[in-house]
Amino acid sequence: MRNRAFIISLFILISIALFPFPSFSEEKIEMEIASFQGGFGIDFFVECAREFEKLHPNVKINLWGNPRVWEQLLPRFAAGTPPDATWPGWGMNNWDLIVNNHLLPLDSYLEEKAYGSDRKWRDIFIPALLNKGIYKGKCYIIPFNFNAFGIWYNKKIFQEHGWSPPKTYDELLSLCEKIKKEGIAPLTFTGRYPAYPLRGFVYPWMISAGGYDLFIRIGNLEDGAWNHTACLKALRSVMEMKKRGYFQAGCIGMNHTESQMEFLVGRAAMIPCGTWLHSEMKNLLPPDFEMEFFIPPVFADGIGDPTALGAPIDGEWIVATKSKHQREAIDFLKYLSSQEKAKKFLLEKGSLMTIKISGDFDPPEYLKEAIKAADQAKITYNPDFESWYPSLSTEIVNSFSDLYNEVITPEEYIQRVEKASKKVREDKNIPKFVME
Amino acid sequence: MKIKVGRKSQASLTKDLTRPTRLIVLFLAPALILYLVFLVYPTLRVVKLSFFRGSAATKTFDYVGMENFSNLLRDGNFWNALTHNFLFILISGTATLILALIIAQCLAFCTRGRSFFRVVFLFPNVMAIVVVTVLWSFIFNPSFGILNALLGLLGLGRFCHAWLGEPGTALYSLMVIQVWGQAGFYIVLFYAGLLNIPQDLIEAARIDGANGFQLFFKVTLPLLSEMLQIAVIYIIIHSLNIFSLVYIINEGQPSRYNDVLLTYLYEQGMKNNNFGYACAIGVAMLILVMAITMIVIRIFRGRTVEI
Repeated sequence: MRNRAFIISLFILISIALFPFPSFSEEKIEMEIASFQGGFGIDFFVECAREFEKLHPNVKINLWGNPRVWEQLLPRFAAGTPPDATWPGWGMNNWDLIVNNHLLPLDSYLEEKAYGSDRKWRDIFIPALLNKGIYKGKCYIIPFNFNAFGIWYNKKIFQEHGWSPPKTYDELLSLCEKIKKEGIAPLTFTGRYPAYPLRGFVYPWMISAGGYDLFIRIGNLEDGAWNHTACLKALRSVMEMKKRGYFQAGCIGMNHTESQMEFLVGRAAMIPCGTWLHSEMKNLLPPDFEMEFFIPPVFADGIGDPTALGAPIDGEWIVATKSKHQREAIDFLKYLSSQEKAKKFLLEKGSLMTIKISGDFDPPEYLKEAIKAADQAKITYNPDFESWYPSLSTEIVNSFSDLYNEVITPEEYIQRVEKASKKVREDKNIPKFVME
Repeated sequence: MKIKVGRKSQASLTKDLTRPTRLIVLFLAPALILYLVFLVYPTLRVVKLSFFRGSAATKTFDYVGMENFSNLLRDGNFWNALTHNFLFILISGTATLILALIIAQCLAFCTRGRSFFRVVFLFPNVMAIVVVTVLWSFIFNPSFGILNALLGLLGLGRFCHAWLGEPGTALYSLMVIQVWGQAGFYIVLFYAGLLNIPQDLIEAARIDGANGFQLFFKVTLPLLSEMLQIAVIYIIIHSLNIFSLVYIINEGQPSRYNDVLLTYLYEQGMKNNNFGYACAIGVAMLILVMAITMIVIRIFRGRTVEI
């Protein structure tokens, strides 16, 4: 009897060893990934998803997205049914999600090997940009790409007239005067979304006149930071440009695509925008159109670093705490951030990458100056306080419209924004972040 | 052929006929359940949440009593948005009603092309709001828009504006779009009302020597009062609940030049993650709509003329 039991047990053990039950990773997994569909579209990510499926036959990825994807994602997070991984776009307050434990800390995964590399996943990113996603010592955001924010000019018009990109504010004024005399609007901008002129003129000029320290003080909601004379100088300079007629008439009523079209058709010679511009407008580019980038001109007597570059992170990928397939979602993000994919995104979409790309490659012509600016920049900055404190951001943006429309003066702008900053600072219910 | 009706079923049928309450409840139940689940419950939930602080991202909602409502009363942005809603009622609502009355009257009198014009005037109503807003965005475009181009052609270049971006024009530009988009519905409403007016009443008034002006104000308008009451209530509700048009055009921006209650509610709830406050705005809107509707009904009470 004992022998029989022993034989049966042995048989079962051998059977298990020879015919193992399918492991977890071989189960059919259906993963959901949602992506913001901005200037770069989502076709690249869809393509990556199909490739990932081929490499992992047990994984099926439902990748979807749209230009306002965050509106659909917020209720999903609230209901506890978020997608497995997502890039929710500029409208989502990722920090609110982090503070409320909706996002997975990624540190342990960052210690793992990167896709197709012996290096740690953490080490393939530009450290300063990866650190942008840190809250209380933990990393929650995988930055895929970033943008350089500056001013684009119509290369053909510039070459025809022998103009070159200005380096200082005074040079900008004299260049604008020359362009205006030719019957072309020197500058246009997206007036209906004042974040563009703020990043193109106001913030760079604030940093130039007051130094990067001032920008940090503003970001850290320091009392009286906005009262610094540099802020006033930056705002007055915008109004000086307006009064001299250097901004295209009516641009305050244009949305981003309208103002960008004005630039493409040559009615305006320059436009402040990020490096997504080419990709966003590529279907509408005139055949012989060439554009090139330069960093916003600085004040000749400015104390700020003249190489400082506005560099907002674009593809902010996050994994939800309640993601059903965290492991697979992380693996997909690793695949996305591989050398091959990062290089492909740079070349195809014309974006700067947060991933250090090794080896020789020839970036698109229009991107070369932006890459050079990023390489030379001693400081890269982003108004993170806008995403941390939405009510302050709204006041900054709205006050710009009122300033431009001459409803308020630069002094009143400062008062309004300083008041909004104080309100956020004193509101104990708003979590605070540190800008460094 | 004889149809046999069983004693039991015959009895129950008789019972049902004498006591129809159950049948009524049975037939009403599906609609009632939907109404309770999708309207009453969410409304009650919104009322409850308006006394709490919290967001979609937070996991807990803290009871704050009347804090959201007291903040609302001190919130300049709320009053700014409410003022814009009232301007929508007063200006675009009045313009819509007057325009619709005039066009309906013309349609009722004109004999040729009536069907054609009826379709033409109703056309903006059947267009998707996104199409309407995109269309008008092109018209108002400060650089290549038809409106500025037309003004330029007429030598009125000094009146050219960045229509959707300036404080003096942004709100009124939206009103133009709203009037254009909604007038068709009211034209049809008034036209139907006009067709119901007996011709002999109009003829009698004419025989008594009433001119066109008198005919309209003394006969037509009083007989249309019921339609007018419905139209006014619709206009008020529509103007207080206006959202898509403003949001698609520019989310109430720039600088809240055309912010309305619902865009402000959306901003607080979805952008600032301030759900409790957004719910308080919703409750304030509910009270406003109910109060104004009751006032309108009271104004029209006793003035309705039965034909």
